[in-house]
Amino acid sequence: MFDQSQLQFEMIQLLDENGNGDEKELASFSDEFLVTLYRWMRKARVIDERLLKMQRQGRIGTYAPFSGQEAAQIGSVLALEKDDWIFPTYREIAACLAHGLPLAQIFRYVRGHLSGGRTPEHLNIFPIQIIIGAQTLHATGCAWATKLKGETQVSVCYFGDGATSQGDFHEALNFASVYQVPVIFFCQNNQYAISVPVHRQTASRTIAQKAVAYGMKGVLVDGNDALAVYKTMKKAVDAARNGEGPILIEALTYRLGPHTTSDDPTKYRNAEEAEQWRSKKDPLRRLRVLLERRGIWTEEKEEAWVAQVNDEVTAAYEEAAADETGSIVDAFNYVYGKPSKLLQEQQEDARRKRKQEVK
Amino acid sequence: MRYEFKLPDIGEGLHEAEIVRWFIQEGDEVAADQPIAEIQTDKAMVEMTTPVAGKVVALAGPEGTTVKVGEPLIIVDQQQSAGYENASEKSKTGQPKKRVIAAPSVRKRAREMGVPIEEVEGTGEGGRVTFADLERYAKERESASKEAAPALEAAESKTDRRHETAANEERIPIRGLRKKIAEKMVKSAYTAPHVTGMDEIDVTKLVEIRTSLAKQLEAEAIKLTYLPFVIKAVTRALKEHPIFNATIDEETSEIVLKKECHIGIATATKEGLVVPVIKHADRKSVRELAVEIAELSEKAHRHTLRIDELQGSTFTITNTGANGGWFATPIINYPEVAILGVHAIKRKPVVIGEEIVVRDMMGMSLTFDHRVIDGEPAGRFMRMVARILEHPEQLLLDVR
Repeated sequence: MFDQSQLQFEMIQLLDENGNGDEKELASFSDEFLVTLYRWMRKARVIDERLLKMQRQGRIGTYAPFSGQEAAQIGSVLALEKDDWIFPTYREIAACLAHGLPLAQIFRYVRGHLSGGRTPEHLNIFPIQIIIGAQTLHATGCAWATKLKGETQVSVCYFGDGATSQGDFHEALNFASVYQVPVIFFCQNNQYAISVPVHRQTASRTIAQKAVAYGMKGVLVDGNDALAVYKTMKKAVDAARNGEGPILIEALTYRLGPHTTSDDPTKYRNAEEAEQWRSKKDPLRRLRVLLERRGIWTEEKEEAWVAQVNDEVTAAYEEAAADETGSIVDAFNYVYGKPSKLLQEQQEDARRKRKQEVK
Repeated sequence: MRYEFKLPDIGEGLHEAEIVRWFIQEGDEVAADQPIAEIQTDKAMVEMTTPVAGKVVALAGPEGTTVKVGEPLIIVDQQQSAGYENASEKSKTGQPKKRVIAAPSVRKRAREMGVPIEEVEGTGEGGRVTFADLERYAKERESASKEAAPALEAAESKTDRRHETAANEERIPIRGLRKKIAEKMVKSAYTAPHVTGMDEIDVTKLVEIRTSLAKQLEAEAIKLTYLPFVIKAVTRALKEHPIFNATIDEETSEIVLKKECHIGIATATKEGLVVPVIKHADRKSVRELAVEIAELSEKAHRHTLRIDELQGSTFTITNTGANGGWFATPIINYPEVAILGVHAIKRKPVVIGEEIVVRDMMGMSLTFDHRVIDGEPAGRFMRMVARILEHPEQLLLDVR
């Protein structure tokens, strides 16, 4: 009989919590790349904090903060080609931005504009998924399509630890592996599915090991180490593009904030634990230490960058806020290319009700 | 320009929130996105920031105030706005209250420890106050207070009591429902001269009837307690003694006799006492009262009572139940003029004629406002309530 204790998934880490690592390994990353990586992560953090405040000011709707997961999201997206597909959930705002989604479009989404669900034509970003785990199947299907069409794009599916309990996840992994399609299943294990801790979510010692059951490769990486995430993702994407089939990556990380703006994590998480991840294990901190040691980042640069991002956020918000939000009547236009009879009836109904309301 | 920052629905379907702590005060200059308050919603403790910069001209109220969604939390005069960047500079130097950077969990812990967080030096990133900082502050404070001269301690004891006793005490802020109860009790007890009359009633017959009817109602899943019978007896007595179904209008120095009979039922919940109201209790049957009591009680425990279900009572009954003792001195639900307490029912030896017999006896207490009601009418009111409860078949006389 085989026991899971016989499986060893060592967590890949290049940069430890104090910004140290194997010098030769670290030297392989250029200054320019490190600064780009850090700027993206800092930008994402600033945007996330502003969005949270704006929700408390009644300017945007319910919001799912991602602070703490910047290394996992930015590190993985920067390893992609521009035309690779990503399949985000509501928490992948950072990944979407780094893959090219304009900030104003994020604002349209969080403000509930009808146009907020639309991805600009030239970007390969699937609409933000709210159904837990559903996008695992979409990503597999997309990867299958690119394979059948002989295209070179890789599909990258983002999901959390909670999604691994969904049937969709298992169907997607099985299908992807049987058909050897170019898809990366990128799990950000932030250790809590709303309030359910990961040890109540799965009896598996790691999420990465679930890959073995489907005959695919699995990797466990320190999700707060942007360099390890980048390198792991790069290898996985290259392999998938080479026709080596799907890969499951587990990035171990931590969501610093609440599940959404309607959640209070202090009710289910130990305060000391959260503080540890906020201070010592913060993904931005260790990268900044490395940058400062190399002499390519300073407090002045930090301040200037934060100010610039803040201005960008204000401008993007104003751009979005000036737009029409769209009415329920318009929503029916975006369901099918050619609307069904039933849908047209419902639209008529909505129009009538709308008129009554206006009166 | 005056900007009213109205409390938004920051949860999903939030109605109101309580201000736990202000970070600013009236007259302060605030920058956009500067934290202004910590509020407690029914879901979470939340830090609020202001959407605009300017001078704070009004706050919704002191800490502990409940603000409804859509009501202004603060009012900011934007004319004196210093803008996003400048104001944040100013806040570093010119603020009377230091802006503290700390996670809500740390702030919460600080409150629990009785530590004023703005006095704690933050060693985290950007001066962020951490748990370790709190511990260090508490330790320093403890050793400082030990070293202090006794005379100094005595002098400081009034102002600094919070600090010195934190180690061997737990301090619970009087907030929310507790605060409301406290205010109401003080108002009542220090306004109306309370007098309480007590009596015991032979409820042997009532016990029989209730037991029999309760069994019959079990099939309908209706729980029948003694309270509906007490309400029937009280509303009957109120008809005969209208002075008890009244309130006092202090401004005009008038007794307001109420033509309608709405009975408040004092109900204990985990968070404290609430008094849901049975409207037109005199017009309702024992069965209807039983159903309504169960509904109101359920709602009270789930905190889903509507405001109109908590208002408008003309007389209040408090049922202290089997474990509440034999008598009590209930406090009037001000501005009403009387309150009836009904208590445990016990098997007791009593004298009937020349014999000592065992009967079911119930304690009863009536508190009345002696400004408007004297002892004699109070005695008559109690006798009437007692007579009906001793002879519950009398209630049949009024059945239409």
